[in-house]
Amino acid sequence: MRSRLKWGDFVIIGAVLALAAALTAVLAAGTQGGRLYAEVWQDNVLVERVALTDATDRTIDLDGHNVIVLSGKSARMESADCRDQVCVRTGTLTRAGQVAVCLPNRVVLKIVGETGEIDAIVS
Amino acid sequence: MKRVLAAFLLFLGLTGCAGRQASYTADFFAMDTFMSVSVYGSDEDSAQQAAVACEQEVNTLEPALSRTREDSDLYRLNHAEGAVCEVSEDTYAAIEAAVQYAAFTEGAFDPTMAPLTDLWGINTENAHVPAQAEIDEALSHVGYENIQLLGDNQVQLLGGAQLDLGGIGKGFATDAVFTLLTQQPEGAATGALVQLGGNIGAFGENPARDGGNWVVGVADPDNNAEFVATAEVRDASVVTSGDYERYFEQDGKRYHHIFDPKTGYPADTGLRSVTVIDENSTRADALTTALFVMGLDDGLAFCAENNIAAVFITSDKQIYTTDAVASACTYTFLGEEKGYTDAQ
Repeated sequence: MRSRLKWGDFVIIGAVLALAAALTAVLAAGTQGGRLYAEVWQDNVLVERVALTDATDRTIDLDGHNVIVLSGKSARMESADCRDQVCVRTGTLTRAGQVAVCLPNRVVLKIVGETGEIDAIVS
Repeated sequence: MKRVLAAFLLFLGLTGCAGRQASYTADFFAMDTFMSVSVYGSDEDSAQQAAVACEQEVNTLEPALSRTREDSDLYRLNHAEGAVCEVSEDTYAAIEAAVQYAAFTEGAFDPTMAPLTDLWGINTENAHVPAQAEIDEALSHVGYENIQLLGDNQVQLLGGAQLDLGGIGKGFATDAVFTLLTQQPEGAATGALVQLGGNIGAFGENPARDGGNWVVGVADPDNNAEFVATAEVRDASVVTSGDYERYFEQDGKRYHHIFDPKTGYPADTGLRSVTVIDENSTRADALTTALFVMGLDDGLAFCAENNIAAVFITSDKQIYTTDAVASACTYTFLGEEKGYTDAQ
């Protein structure tokens, strides 16, 4: 018997292609493709997760102990009431893999998202 | 039916469901620092189990390496006034490693500096420059030769020596985590990024990059969120010691936390940081401190003699790498825009 594609087959193939494209897009978004997020952790609990875009302009105040400024696609520990100031000295974070840690207050500011130039910074 | 099956297979192929890697990250505080272990594996459950096992391993090791916890072996040993003490196997192994690297570096790394670090009070409210007489007194107790390893987990400290394993603790924990990762079930941990404070461990394959390497940025001492070079590694540890994270200022002068066992003062050798790339993180940890204390010239000579992969950053923004760097990783200098010079 000769096998020929019928119009119904094209409908199935078309539908599968469309569905696959849609799912791939959703999965890519789920793995944060192309986007950066600032995460603020306090005592191992995620307190904020903010998408960083050119328009981001936000200040997160953790009861005055730590003040975090998100500005455009960057994040920094603006101030901390701790003794060592290591987190403030860390400076401005702009890439996935960068972290500013306030050990005394157990606050962590980290950038997560698409794989960039680096996986981690050794310091 | 065949058509439905074909459509389903086409769908799977197009979305790439087969072979997708799962990952799990465990973030936690231990050993007075922030730690993060990201494990990549065939499914999320086993990646999570592996990452949590790593966290537990570090938490188990913490009391074995701490000298401040009153229930720890080191606390007991440091307060035994010269008596022989039995310690745990982990503690004994870590002391053995510390003594080995102290001897290897002829005391440039020394695990008996505790009286000095306590005296200077770095990272405490009491941080200050001590009187010379106090420094001399503290120095009289410094010397790794005072550590007597008697076998059977028996240790004795002579001459009022006080042990501090902080200089290798995170490296020792990184090595323990690597061992644990190799023991995971097949496929559960095909790759992992282990960040224990400043110690980075790049285990196995990085699924996010072509070639499977991990790219570690070497921090800019003037702005340590940025980097001045990258080292692409696999199954290796990258460790940095620098003068820029823990320090205090008095009368306009900066005093950092890496002490020269000969002078009792912060090592003043014109270096900002030393990074070592090595398969053994304990060794890398001890070597970064030792090389920082040795300074550029002696440090470079020591690395050449012993085939050590190291990156030195000087106060005048010169970056030196040793010959062994080329075989330990793929190194890329990126500091030009930040004012650094590749001093090769």
